[in-house]
Amino acid sequence: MVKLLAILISFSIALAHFWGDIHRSKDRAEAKLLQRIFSDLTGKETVKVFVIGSEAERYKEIFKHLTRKIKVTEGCPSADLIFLAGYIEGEPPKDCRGIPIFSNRRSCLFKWKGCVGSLYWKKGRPNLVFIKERLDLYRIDLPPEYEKFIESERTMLFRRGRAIE
Amino acid sequence: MRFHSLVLLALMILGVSAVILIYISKVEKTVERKLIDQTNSIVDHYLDNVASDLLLKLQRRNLIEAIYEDEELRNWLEGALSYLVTPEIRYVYMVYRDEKGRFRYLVDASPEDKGELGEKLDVLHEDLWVSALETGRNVLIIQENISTVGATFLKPFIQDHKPVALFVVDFSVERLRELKEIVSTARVVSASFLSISLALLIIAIHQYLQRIKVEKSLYVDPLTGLLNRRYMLEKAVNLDTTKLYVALIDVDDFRKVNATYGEKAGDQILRDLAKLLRDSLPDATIIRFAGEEFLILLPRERFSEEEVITLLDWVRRKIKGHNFTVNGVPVRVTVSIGVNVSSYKTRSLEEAIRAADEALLRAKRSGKDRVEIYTEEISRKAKTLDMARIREAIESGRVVCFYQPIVELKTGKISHYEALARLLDKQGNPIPPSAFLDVIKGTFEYVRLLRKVIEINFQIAKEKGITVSINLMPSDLLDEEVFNLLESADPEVRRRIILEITEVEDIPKVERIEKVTKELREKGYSLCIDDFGSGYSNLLNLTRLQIDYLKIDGTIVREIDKNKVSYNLTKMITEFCKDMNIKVIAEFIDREEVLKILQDLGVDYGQGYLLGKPVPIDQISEDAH
Repeated sequence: MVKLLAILISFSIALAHFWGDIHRSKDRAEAKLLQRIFSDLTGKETVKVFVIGSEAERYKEIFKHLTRKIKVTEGCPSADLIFLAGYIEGEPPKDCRGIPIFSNRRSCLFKWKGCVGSLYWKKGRPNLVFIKERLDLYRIDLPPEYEKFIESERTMLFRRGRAIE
Repeated sequence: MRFHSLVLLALMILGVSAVILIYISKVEKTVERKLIDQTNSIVDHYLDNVASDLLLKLQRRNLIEAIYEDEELRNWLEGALSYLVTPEIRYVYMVYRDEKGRFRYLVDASPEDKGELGEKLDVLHEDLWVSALETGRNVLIIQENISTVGATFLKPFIQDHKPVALFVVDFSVERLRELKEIVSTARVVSASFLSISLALLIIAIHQYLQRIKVEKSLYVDPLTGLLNRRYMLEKAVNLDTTKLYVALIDVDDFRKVNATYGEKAGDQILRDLAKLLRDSLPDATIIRFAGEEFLILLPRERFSEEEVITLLDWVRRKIKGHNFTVNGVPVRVTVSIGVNVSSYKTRSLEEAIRAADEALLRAKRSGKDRVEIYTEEISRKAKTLDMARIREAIESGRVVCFYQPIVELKTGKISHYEALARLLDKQGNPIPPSAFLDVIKGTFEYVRLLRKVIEINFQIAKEKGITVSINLMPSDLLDEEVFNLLESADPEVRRRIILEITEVEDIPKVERIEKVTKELREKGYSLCIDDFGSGYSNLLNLTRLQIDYLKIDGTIVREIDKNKVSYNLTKMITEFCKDMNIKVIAEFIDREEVLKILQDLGVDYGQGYLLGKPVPIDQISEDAH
């Protein structure tokens, strides 16, 4: 009985900490969002994602522990989608051509023409944006609830006041 | 800790923790709002000034178009807003809503995470943002889901009496950090209490389930899965017998089943029988009362007396027709059932069971495989009884015999002794048969007592070398257990035992008694008819039974010197017995006059206080016989 009591109390304290911390879990929220976005982008329940960029390792861990339907691949050929986490030096691998890129940086939308959208954090808030022309290029048809997040490439450039290189 | 107190404690902690959690949340919001309000009034005032200056600078130009086109204006506005940025105010910016309803940055004076001109901004609580723009009123949003922002202040910018953009001020969480930490600690503590109370609840439920498990193992018979006798003694004993019918079901000749097919087969039959009873009597509480005996408690509200009897007879027939398969061999058994339909008149379950037991014994003695009903008459008799004491005395071995000498009247020598059963109370005082015999007649307790008496006298006859007469009722001779016991005695012992059969006029099945007495005589027992002449004595029966002794009833003997009928009756019986070669015993001899007449009439033996009182075995003089 004492053993059972000890186990239950330990469990309770752990649970209490979990309850206390759960609302702060940005990673968990982001993972959940990304899982949904990836699935809608590819039209697949389980999405094979090739993760690159300066924050690749961190996101691999997040996908491994916090999602069930994102499978990280070792290379591009078998991937449904490239997730560009942070920044990369140079170009994405050559065999990645033709595979849509999704990023966690807004700036990547301007740097990489293959980048169809981005989920990034600004002032503590998640922001989501897709570029219509690039979605069309990859024949990606997103569900209607994404409508408010889709921008046209022209509008974005005009707002920004400079051209894509 | 008991289940109820544990649940109570858990619920108390649960309640208090929940109240604390709710209270903490309310306090947190109130304090946050007050802290922000203090800063807010300054911010609001400052933004009013910025708005006035901005209107001057716009000079009737549209704000949004002017900001897009006029870099100088943008820089001025950014500079003006940047004065608000402090450690407490993290972000200051201005947004508008485009034709598609999306919020976009106009100017951002924040030192980090800057939004670009025209950049889309996804907002939380969008309805509040829209409301600020549509109503032109300030809005304060307490941010729950943004880790870096504690609150957001929205102030509409009015141009031409119309809100066209929003000044947005995001308050840092730094100011609220201390408060949040305290609240967070309190929240963790409360959550811990909440969890502990949940844990206690789980323990309580676990304990409760354990208790049910233990109780089940305590009160369930492992062989049949039915409730056991312990349940009857500890739980069922408190049942209200006025709401029950009580019945006992006993498997007939079960020892033969065990002997024929083995104990494992016997167990299998009991298991199957238990299942059959459960299926047949779903409304009943069924208890394995003894080896092959089952106690059935049926709710009175569900059945009339006739229905219960019909139901139990149906069960009996069902059992009789059932094939109990043992190792592939079909075995048939029958049961005897005793049912007490008057249990509402009894004071306890034990009393109600005893009545059912009496009916069961009747069923057994009437040829088995039948249902017998406990009658009202017996019930009345039972009300004066103290069965528990008698049972306790028998079970504790407090059964003894007193011995009264039977004297040969010609010589004055002791011929043999009549064994008279006594129970001893806890202090060792003898209790006469009148206090217990009528109580237990017709029950299994009577058979247990009789067995004990027979065993005692076998021992006495063997060790003391004296001849002893034992009282039996005719029905005792038909009892298999009693007969087997008598049969098992040493031949030497048998020769020293006289079986004194009482109530000869009540002999129910004289043919069977005749057969049994014949067998017993052949085995060496002597037979005596007791209390002859007390009722409607059947001389024909007397001739058929081949007895050795006849004892004239004391009520005849006692009056022999005063009552001519008694005298003539004694004379007639004595002469009849001499012709039949039967020895005559006269009892209740307590006066010299009576003794003299009996000697003159040629009565062979005498018994009574004048000749010798009943005494314990250790008071019998060795010389007397």
